[in-house]
Amino acid sequence: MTAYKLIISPGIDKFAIYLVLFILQFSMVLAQDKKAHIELDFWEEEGKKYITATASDFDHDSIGAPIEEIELYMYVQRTFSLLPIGDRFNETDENGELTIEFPKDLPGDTIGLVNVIVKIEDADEYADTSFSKVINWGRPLIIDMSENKRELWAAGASAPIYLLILQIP
Amino acid sequence: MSDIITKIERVDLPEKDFENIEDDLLRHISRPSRNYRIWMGILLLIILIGIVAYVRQLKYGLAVTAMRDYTSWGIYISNFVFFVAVSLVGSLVSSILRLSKASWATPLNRISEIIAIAAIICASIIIIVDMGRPDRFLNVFLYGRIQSPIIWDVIIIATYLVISFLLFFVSLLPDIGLCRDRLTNLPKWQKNWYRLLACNWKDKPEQYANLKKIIAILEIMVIPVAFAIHTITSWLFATTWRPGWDSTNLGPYFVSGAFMVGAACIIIAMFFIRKNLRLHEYITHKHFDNMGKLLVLLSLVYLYFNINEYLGPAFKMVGAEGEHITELFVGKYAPMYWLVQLGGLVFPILILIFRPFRKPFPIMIVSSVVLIGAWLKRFLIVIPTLQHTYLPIQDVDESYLHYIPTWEEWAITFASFAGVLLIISVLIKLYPVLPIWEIREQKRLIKAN
Amino acid sequence: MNENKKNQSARRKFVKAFLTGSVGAVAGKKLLSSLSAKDENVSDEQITALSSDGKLIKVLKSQVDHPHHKPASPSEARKGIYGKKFVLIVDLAKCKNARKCIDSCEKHHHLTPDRPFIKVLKMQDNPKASPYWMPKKCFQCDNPPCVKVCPVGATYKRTDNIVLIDNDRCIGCRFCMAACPYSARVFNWGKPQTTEDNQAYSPETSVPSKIGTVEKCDFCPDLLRENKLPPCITSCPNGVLYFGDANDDTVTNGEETVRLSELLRDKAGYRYMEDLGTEPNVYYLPPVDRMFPFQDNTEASDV
Repeated sequence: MTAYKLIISPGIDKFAIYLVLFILQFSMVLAQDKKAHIELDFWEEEGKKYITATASDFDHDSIGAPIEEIELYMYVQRTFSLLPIGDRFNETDENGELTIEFPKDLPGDTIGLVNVIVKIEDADEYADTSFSKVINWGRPLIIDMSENKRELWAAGASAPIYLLILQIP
Repeated sequence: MSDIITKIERVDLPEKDFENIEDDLLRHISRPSRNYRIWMGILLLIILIGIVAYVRQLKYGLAVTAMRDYTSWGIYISNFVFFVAVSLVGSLVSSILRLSKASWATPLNRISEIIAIAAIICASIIIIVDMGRPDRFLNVFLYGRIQSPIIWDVIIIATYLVISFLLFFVSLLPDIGLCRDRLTNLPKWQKNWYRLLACNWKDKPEQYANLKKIIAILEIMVIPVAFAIHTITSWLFATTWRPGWDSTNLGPYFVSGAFMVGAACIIIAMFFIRKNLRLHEYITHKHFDNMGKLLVLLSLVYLYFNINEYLGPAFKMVGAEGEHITELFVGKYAPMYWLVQLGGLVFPILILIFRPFRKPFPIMIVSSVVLIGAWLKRFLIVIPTLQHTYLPIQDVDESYLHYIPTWEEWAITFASFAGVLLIISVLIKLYPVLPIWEIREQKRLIKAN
Repeated sequence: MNENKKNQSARRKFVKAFLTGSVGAVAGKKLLSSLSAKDENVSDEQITALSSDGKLIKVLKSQVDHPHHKPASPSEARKGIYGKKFVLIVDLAKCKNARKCIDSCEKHHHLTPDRPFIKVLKMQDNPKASPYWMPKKCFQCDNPPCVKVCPVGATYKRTDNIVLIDNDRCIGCRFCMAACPYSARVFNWGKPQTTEDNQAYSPETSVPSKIGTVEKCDFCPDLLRENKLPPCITSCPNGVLYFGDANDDTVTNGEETVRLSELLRDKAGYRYMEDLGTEPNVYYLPPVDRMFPFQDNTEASDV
């Protein structure tokens, strides 16, 4: 405190303080924009499916130390939006790991693939990023294309048989 | 058996010889009289106003009517149902009465077929008028879906028109032959026309035998078709979930109403033809008497189905159906409803029980009341239901809540009535209105016995 | 004494400056990053797309073109979007009759107020229950009465649950309007006022409107083909409407994404007038546990 007081001369002391602090903070913040890397692991136990996400520092293309207590947002890609999975708030532990249970009976595409996405958003020291991996843990979709079923509400050519027969008289 | 026939027929038919019958019944096929021209002029004027209204409708769309998103069907549709109902008179008289050997009704065969054909043609025209896009009318045939009740209606109306026309034409053949042979002072086109239509009719016994066989087949065919046509029309309503329409009773209700209104129509036609063509000896008081009794019978059947139709829902008063019943019995439509039910249904039954009222003029008046009541009844079947939807009607313009037909709708409706009368008048003028050969046949039978 | 006071004031000044500076720095950084392109993620950005045979494939976002698709022609529109079964959930506990859904729908389909695709009705199940607002549009039924009665097949049911109308074929008989128990359809009685006359007609956009034909909510298939939500969903300020693909088991209201099966199970989703047997694809969540009481805030009234 006293040191500060000594350097600055009256009149421009306020302005100088603000300016210096601003530059300091700015550079601090810019410099703190670290990149993160997330590794996704899929494993099963006792019939339940789990995903473990491991977040680590990512410095010039090399994976560094694990990040602890960072919030990860886990989603599954859906048609219009991302479906959140896991708990409401997912934080990594001291090893930078986070384990959540994969939802039961979630539909996938025709061969059961789902796209799992994990994101870092609005974290204190890390830039926003997202990683994804495709896994066939979805329920395979059976697409019923039997358009030509004979129904009362179908197109004229798919009318129920009894109506076609009654047409004859 | 033969003395029963003799007894009945002696009362009905006058003691005239054959030549006079033909004279009497062919007399009106001459140059159009002044009265006839005035009558046609009035009809054509009404039709012209209707055409003007329709042109406006084509230009501005159905917005010129009072129909809106809730009351999406209006008097065009109720008029359509009315015309289909009237057309059942053809099967009533020329099939049911003929098959049950009610020979007093023989003179009425042709006029009933004429009314039936005219009514069906105008029903088809009015339904095209109701379409939002009449320019796409061919889509009905190109893309028709057999699952749709409208397609069933198109098929059955076409079938009924064909059978009715055949019944009319086939039983007309001997009389066209007569026209071709007997009528000489006619314009050339008319003589050629008769010659063409007569199809080489030579008055031979084998031809008569074939004719009767064909007529017998057609008569039997037309009865299920007649029942079907009005039942299928009722299915246009009964296949929806609307209060008042969602009823299993709708088929018989419509058919019995149709027979009743057909009988009323025939009585009115009988009265005017008898008067204007001076056929007092062929359409006698006995005919009016019998038709009056028939009308009472048919009205009683219709009354039965009416009670059936309204008692169940009125007892339960379920939701939207309850609102609908309330509206009809004590609400906005109550005056019209009770006028129609009491004035158009109960009153004719009560008054026609008495013989003095079955004389030509009184019964014609009563039949007119029945006819007007029947038209208003179809209005009450179509419009109030549409104003009681399951979901509440909110946030709409005032005009959506009421249905008061516009002048264009009335003009087109009256033009359709004029159209029916026009077709009837033209056909009466061109052909003998009473079946000469059938009356002659009966005369022969009496003479032979 | 003076010295202490001076120290105190200096401390206060320093703390104030520090806080201001840090706020300014963070704000400055955000400003910078928003001005420059977000290129921290470009190497990672992959999107998943549904291939034509229903498999999920991953492609780099930069490689995918997002052309503005030409709306489907009437014959193409008879085929549904492959592999989808669209559903709508309406959370009646949240609706406050803001009517933003109606406004955005009107704008998107170039409608006039007399032809609303969506209606918000004031409903009251019985005299003792509280009234509630119920947004209602076409229920896209699985057993559609309107499709059954159409004589020319102008309205049809697609594999993706949507019931569409081909206004090039409609003859204007209005039988479908009589058949629909939910009064979902509106008719173009007069010439519709539209400025989009030169746009090619597509049943998937229901634009331009044609005189003498019938229209209704179509779930905006033109937007769905581009994986965009219909405007009514995203414009609702209260998050009332949830839309999604039942094959995905997921619905979203633009902000919140939930599993469809869980939502319907936990909140007792029901279909309006279920026993008519039309099998609607619109579910309602009952107006219970409301966060605010019912307010009659418009001129809406029963007639």
